[in-house]
Amino acid sequence: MTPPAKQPPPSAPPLPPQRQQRQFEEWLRDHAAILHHTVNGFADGDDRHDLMQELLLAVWKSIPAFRQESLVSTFLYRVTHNAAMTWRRKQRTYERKIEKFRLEPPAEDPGETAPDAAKLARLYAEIRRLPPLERSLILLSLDGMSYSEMAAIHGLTGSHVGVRLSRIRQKLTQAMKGQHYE
Amino acid sequence: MNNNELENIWNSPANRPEPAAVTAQMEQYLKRLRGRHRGFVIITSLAGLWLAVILIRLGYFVAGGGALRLSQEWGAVGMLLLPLTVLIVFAVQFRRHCRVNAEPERSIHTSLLALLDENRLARLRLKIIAGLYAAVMLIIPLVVHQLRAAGKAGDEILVPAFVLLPLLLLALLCGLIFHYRTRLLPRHRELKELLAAYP
Repeated sequence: MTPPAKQPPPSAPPLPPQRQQRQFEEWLRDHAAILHHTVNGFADGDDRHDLMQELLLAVWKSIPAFRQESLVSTFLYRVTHNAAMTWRRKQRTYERKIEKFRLEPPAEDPGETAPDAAKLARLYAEIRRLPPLERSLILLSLDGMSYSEMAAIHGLTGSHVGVRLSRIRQKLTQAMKGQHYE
Repeated sequence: MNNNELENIWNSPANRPEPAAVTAQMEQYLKRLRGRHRGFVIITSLAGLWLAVILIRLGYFVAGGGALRLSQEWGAVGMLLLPLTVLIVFAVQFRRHCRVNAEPERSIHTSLLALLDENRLARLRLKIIAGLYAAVMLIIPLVVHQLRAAGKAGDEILVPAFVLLPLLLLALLCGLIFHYRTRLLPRHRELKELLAAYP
């Protein structure tokens, strides 16, 4: 179990720019999948580019606050999911998307024999239909995080995470079968 | 479809980021960051210069006509002290915010609470600034009267004091109201909604 990372106050001393940039490049090289999964789980279409920039900014700003007391991956999950959950789309785009979402039926079932990419697109589309906290929990769970790690990231209890996740997984598997939940 | 199938789809090669795309995005971001940094330095320097010019001119205006007589010109001194007082209030509020939210990144929940508190503080700051504008508008006739009585200003002060300054403050106030209603209030609602999902 990864203990909850103790972070310093917001006024962590700034790092020399070269060191910060080196750290940034290293983290992105080693943990690109975290950003990739978070972006696709929280945004689609052109919004993905906006969200990616937002996540990169959040990661960049968080570097001085990292104190080696947690794994880099756990730290990055917390930073990126936090930024994604509080990310504000450009209002007009968002309203247009909401309108589109209201008019469009749920994504079609790609079928058993569909290629992975189509199934994956469908899975991401279903994840994006979930409320933000559930979206974050299922993304963390699919990335292989334990209940206690997820609980530490979100400030929840392990049992609460377990209860919620079993409901979310049920919703998702039903949705992937084409049976939509309310 | 069951959980295993979900995980198989998730772990398929299609869900792995392309290293070239990640590098390109990172380089694009770093370029943007450097541009932003340059922009920040330029804007901060210009704002600092502008403030310094205004303060020097104001000081010259108040003291230039002769020695400052507090008993007759306290209005101008009060007007100069108002922004300073507000600045001190903001600093105290910010310190309290930092103390209360000492570990905003401990979890996403604590971070959301800190963002909500920050939003509350930003809304309060806007109200204080609006109050400051109102106070300036109320105090201006007194300052003009005192400066004219002391012989430090003539009729040339009337148009800037009673036309230009109110127009400027009104425009700034409209900007504040717009920011409050289109940014801060919707953000407050969003954060409350997000927090409602936590037990």
